[in-house]
Amino acid sequence: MIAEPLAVLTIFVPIVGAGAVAASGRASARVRSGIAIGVAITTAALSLLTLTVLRDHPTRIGIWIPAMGVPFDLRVDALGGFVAAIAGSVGALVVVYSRAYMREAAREGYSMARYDALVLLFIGAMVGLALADSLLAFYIFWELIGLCSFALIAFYHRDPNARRAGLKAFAVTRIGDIGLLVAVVALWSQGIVTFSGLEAAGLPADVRTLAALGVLLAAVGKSAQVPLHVWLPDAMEAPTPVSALIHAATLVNAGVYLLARTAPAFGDLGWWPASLLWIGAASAVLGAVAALAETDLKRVLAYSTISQLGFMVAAVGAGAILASQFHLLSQAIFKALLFLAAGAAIQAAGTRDVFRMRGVGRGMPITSAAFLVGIAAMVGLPFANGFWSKDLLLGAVIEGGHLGAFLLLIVATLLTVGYGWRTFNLVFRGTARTPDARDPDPSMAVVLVVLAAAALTSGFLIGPYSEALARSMPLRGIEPLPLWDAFLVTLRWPTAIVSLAVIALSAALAARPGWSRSVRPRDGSVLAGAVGSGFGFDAAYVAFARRIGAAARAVRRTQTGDLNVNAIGLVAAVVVLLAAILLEGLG
Amino acid sequence: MADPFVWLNLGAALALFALGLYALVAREGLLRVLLGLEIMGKGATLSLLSAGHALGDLGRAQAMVIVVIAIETVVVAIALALLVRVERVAGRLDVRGIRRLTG
Repeated sequence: MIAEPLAVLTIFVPIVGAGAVAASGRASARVRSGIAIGVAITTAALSLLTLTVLRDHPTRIGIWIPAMGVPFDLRVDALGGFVAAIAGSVGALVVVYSRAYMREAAREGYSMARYDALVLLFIGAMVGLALADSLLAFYIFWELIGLCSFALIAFYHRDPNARRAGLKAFAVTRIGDIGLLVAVVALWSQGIVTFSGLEAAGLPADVRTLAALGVLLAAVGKSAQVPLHVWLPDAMEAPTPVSALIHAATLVNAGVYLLARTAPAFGDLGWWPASLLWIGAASAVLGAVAALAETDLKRVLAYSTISQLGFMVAAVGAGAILASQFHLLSQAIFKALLFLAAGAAIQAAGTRDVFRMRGVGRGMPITSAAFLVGIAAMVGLPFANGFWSKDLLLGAVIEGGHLGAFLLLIVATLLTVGYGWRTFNLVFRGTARTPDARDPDPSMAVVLVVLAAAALTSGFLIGPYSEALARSMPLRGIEPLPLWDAFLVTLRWPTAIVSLAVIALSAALAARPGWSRSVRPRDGSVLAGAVGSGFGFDAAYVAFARRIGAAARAVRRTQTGDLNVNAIGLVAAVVVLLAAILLEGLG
Repeated sequence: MADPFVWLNLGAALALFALGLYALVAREGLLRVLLGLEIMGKGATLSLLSAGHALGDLGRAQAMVIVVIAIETVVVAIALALLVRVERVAGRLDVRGIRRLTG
């Protein structure tokens, strides 16, 4: 009976801690930072402890609105438990890293109390989202992470670009949030208020279609898939630890997690998995192409996240929940590692342009090694975590018979090798432009080492992970997959060929760093133009927004601003209402 | 319903309401507009009392009217405070002074 208090604590310790940190704004920086780190590490410990008490059924914590039968249920199964554990543990590493990283921002007068409070709230909301079984609770946590991401992306609020990026992230993901609201309300109309209820229920066809569409839209928005991916590259205006938090531990995982959670209910709809497959595959390729052409280090990593999330979405479409979620774990670890290593390199080099950062790795061996491990995991070199999850994922897609999506994903895999090595070669190798670059503060270096160790080893946990998933979700048809069997999967022919190609290509690129400098889209070329303009999606959205603005200006003419005219309108409305009531009474 | 007292009261209420409405939609001085609004409210309270009398439930009507009066006091207080601001900002006290919301 320990699971429920543990889960409730994991959700509310960081949320209450966020309040405490915000309230301690006037206390000394040391005290505030101490509270933040303490709360974050406690959360990490709690979220990892939760993994030991996974169970296969939801539990009711309380009832929110008795009259409407709205419960507050939690569900501590492996699917949500691991997402929560990632949010808690990677989140704690980010908080520790931030202490030294954000010193300069604090000196410039940005409020660190607000920063720490928002980060903790972000972590708490993500844990809540992962463990919630009630749709309403899920929706509230979903909106909370949207709010936190907005405020953190726009954290450097004196920079107009940061403010714009924050607004853009908020506005674009809002489209998806509306989808989720529609889905929740549609399900509520059928008396379904929990995910568990959704899995068990037989729904009328139209409600099911509406809910499936809403969930799809929500996930595409939050997980930055085509065509709603446009906010993610711009979100790079955020402080780098926040980027790590958004890309690895929290925000973007929510969409994929929602898809995996609802897959049993919508998986047999036909169009639903098919659209996931194609949206995911398209995002995987598009993100990888953009990452290959991008010159801003953080935007390379942002496009890479879009690409990796595409893999996971496609896997859910192929029905491979295990592979999709295992890749989510791998991505969370190696992407956090890449972002935090990139943050240290950016601070040392003083720029984010990969061509101007050249050779920054000379004086920072720990950071270079950490970034190299991250790249190896991302491109899928054996036996880093990306190798296991990517092979499982590709194997599941081809076994499902989805040849088209499989080919697209292979293209994306090879492009990943290209941009991964290009980034490493450009930034960390070659003659140093900033010879005095040194490894960061020890507290930051420790975080990098921990994450690098995790990236190298977490792939070997496929056995226990798959078993936890199979045991706590007996209805999903997930089979335990011991490490040896997983290894055999990677040796089967289509995936083995891909792995060999990845290894060969990696060796070639690592041996010839000069190639990386040649991949630079010339100004005015089609590729540079397409990547620079976000493949035209931004322009389309701006054109649409202009239309709405023009319509608003047209409607505005009816507003005279004259009090008397407004009063007449008011009276007329009352008369119409009264007449309607009278007619209703007579008829 | 044949009680002439009730009819008289309702007639007076209607007259007050019409007078207030006229001031609200046709006058330009903001004080007059506010007075019109208040007179409309008085018409409404009077009709409430008449209805209470006619239905033999005067106590309930009076209770409602007391609440209405209390709320109206607050409304007037806020409205007058706003008018003072309008006078200071716009330099005049008529509806032309507050046309900033025009499209």
